[in-house]
Amino acid sequence: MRDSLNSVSNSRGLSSPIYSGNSSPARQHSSDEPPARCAELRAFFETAAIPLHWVGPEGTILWANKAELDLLGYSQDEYIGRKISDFHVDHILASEILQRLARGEPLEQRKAQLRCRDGAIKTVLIDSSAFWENGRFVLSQCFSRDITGRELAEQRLALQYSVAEALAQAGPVSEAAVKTLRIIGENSGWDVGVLWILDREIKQLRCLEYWNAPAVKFPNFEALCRKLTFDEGVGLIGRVWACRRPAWIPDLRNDGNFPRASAAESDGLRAACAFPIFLEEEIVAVLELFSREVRPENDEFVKIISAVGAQIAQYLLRKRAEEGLLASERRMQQMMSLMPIGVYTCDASGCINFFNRRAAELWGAEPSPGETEEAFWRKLQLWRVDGTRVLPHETPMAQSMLLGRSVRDEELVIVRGNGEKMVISIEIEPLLDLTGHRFGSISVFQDITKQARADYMSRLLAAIVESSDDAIVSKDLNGVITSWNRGAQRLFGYETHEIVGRSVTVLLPPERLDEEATILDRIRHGLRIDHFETLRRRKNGELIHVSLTVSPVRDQKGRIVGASKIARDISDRKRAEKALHDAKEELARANAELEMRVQERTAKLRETINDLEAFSYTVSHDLRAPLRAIQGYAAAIREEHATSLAPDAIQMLERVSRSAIRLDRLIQDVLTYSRFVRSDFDIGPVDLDMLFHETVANYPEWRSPRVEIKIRDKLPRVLGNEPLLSQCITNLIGNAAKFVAPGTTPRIEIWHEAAGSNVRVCFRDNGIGIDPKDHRRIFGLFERIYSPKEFDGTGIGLSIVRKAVERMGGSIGVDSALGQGSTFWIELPPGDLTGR
Amino acid sequence: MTSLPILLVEDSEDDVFFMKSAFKKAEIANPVYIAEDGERAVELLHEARGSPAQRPPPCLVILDLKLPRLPGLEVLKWIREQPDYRTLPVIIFTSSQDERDVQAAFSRGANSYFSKPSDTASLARLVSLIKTYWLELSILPRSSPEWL
Repeated sequence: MRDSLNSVSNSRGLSSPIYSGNSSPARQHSSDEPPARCAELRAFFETAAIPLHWVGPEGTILWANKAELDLLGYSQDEYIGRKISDFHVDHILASEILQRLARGEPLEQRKAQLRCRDGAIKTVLIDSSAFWENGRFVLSQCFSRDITGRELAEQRLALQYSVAEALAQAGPVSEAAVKTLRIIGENSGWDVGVLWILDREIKQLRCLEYWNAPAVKFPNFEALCRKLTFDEGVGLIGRVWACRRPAWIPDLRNDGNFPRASAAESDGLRAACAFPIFLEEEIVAVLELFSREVRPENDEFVKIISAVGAQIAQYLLRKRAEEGLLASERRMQQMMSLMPIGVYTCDASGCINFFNRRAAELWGAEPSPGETEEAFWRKLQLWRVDGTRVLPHETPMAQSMLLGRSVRDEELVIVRGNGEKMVISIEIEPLLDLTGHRFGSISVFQDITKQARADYMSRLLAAIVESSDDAIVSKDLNGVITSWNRGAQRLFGYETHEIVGRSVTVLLPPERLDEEATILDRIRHGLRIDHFETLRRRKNGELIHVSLTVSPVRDQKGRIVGASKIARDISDRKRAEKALHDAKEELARANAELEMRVQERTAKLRETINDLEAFSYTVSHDLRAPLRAIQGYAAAIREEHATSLAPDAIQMLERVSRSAIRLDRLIQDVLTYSRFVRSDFDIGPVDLDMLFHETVANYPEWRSPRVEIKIRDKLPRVLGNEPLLSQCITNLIGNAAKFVAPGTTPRIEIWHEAAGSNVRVCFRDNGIGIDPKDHRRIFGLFERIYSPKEFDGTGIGLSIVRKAVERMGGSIGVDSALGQGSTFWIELPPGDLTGR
Repeated sequence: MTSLPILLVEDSEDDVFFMKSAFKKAEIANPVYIAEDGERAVELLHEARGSPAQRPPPCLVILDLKLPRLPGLEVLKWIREQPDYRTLPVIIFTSSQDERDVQAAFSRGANSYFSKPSDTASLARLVSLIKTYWLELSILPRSSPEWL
């Protein structure tokens, strides 16, 4: 280094320091003045193009050539004699340089920044060496090379690079703003930076970010910046906004339009500049810089910051696009999440990387991270709608994946975890990037179980309607036919294409046209018409009997939009009805005839009965009269002419009498029997015990000792008729007393017992008995087992008893054998239900 | 009293014969008017009212129901319509035992009803009863009381 210094010194031919004779510092330090012999050298340096100055050991500028003064813009008086450090931007650097020189170390290409008279900063490269005299540091000579232009370009590039880097790495806009402000401030020596954003809503500029150099504080100013907003044209930034170009205030104290002037003043800020930031020709922000020092306007710096402003604009544009994209993506995601259909996306390898809530609901499960859609769907068991199984390679997902094509409206049945079956419709669309490369897929699917069911039902209904024998027709509220089934074709003869779109009135016979208006009116009021029987006209003009049922058809909102009509051909029924009607009339006629005949017959019968009654009257009166006469005369002859008659004649007369008496009894029995057969009897409770004793008392011939009658205990009340019962008792006891072996005293025992719900009254005798083969015969009319010679009787007695018992709702029977006596019994309902 | 006649309305000659025999047996001395049909009975009763000296009114009528010309019930009805015969005892003596005849007879004002017995002995007993009751014991008002 020393050699180098020497060589430099030598090469420059600096054997003595330049002395500036008219500079006051030089005069003050006369002992340090350079030797005069160097005058010509001095003249050379004086006019040299390279800036040069001498500095004394204390840092005082001893001399400077014209080039140096021109470079910095000072006059000799303003420059020479002052401390060199006053002109260095970096004071420390200035003293450092001096110390190095004092130590004997030369300075080579040392970059330094010098302050010009107008406040501008010039960057220079300094080459310096010390001049020694008698081992004493006398002065240093410094050559400065102005590299401001180059430096600025470098600085501009560095700044742009730094800003670009910062903006590229920045997260949110505010972070980017602070970084940018810091870089600009640090790079270009501004103390405060503010980024103002044009708020489009309030149409004012407001502070987005504020930055100041770390070493200093500007509390009043910062607070004001963060608080204030600016209208167009107001203050520095308002001016920039209005003029759309940068503005520069070298000294804030001299500016009339700076509202923050007092705060700036109190915080020690002097210079300011501001730059518009355009985005597509529109101002979106203003960058503002402040310095504690007065700074003249610097075109170069304006250019740099304008370039930086363009970078910021680019950043904002990108940010805005990103934000837009983000917002749109957020919207998209939100939309997908809220969509009432299942949505999911897959990456290029088929892994599900997004699915919305509805998708998870429909699946009834959630795919695990990294699960492929194919594997996930397979778990759900896929079936076709026709019930066949979908094999793994046949699934729409696999097809879409393998062939990279869209799937549209594929219908599948899935079986979810809970076993529930669901019909879904799925669409898969490959996602392609700009180069057409597939980077994933998006699938949407929905539950169409209801629709599928409804579809099935509607197809079923359609089939039912179509195959119905009845005509099923729909029409709108104007009576225009909208559908027409096969039944309707058959019934009315019109083909579907002939009739749909025509008015239903073509089916009405002209005289019934007003029926349609009535029907439509009812339908509009939501009423139906049930089984309305009327006439309709077929295509061939033939009239048919139909039964109409018309119902309103409503849309999903319940509005009546038309009517469905079911027409049934009832011609057959009408014919049947007519036939039935005719048959009924015929029947009525026949009935009337029959009724007449019945009446005739009844009249005849009544006549017959009357005849019969007249007959029995006659029998009782007229037939018995001669018998009485026969008997009477026979008796009279016997009594009055007994003496004149032979004994056998008297005997014969007795026989005549007996025969007559027997015949009379016979006639009376027959009359009794016939009366029992045909007459009506009142049935009621009868005190059998009392009746029995009364009846028996009427017959003296049954009294003991001639007949022994024993009643075991009190006889009950029965339901019957007193005269009939009296007749029964008389006949049964009469028989028992009569049919005994000669010489035997008749013994009759009477008792009662329960026979089911009836009362059985038994009459046991010690008579001759009845052969079981005759048991049935004895109750027949005129049936006799014994001749009148053996046992007198008419053969009607038991018939009368049987008839009487039957008429009372009872029954009669006998237990007997020859020689064993007989037990006759009659059964009658009890007469005292409550008493039993 | 004993001399007053009995009117026997009977179309059967046999029955008239048996009744007369029975009367005799029962020692009934009253004269007997015989009417062989209903009209004749009414005629006789009418005559008896006109000339009580020649033909005094009967003290008892024995009336058969089944009669030629005018049925017994009509005769009975006629008798009860005559103020002077209203209390005249009328005994129905007929072969009918029909309840309807019994009802009809009493409802028209018959005093008694007997079915003709089929044998002589029974008839004799019956006539004897009639004599005792109607001819000897019973007392009848002379003329129609106001309340009838």
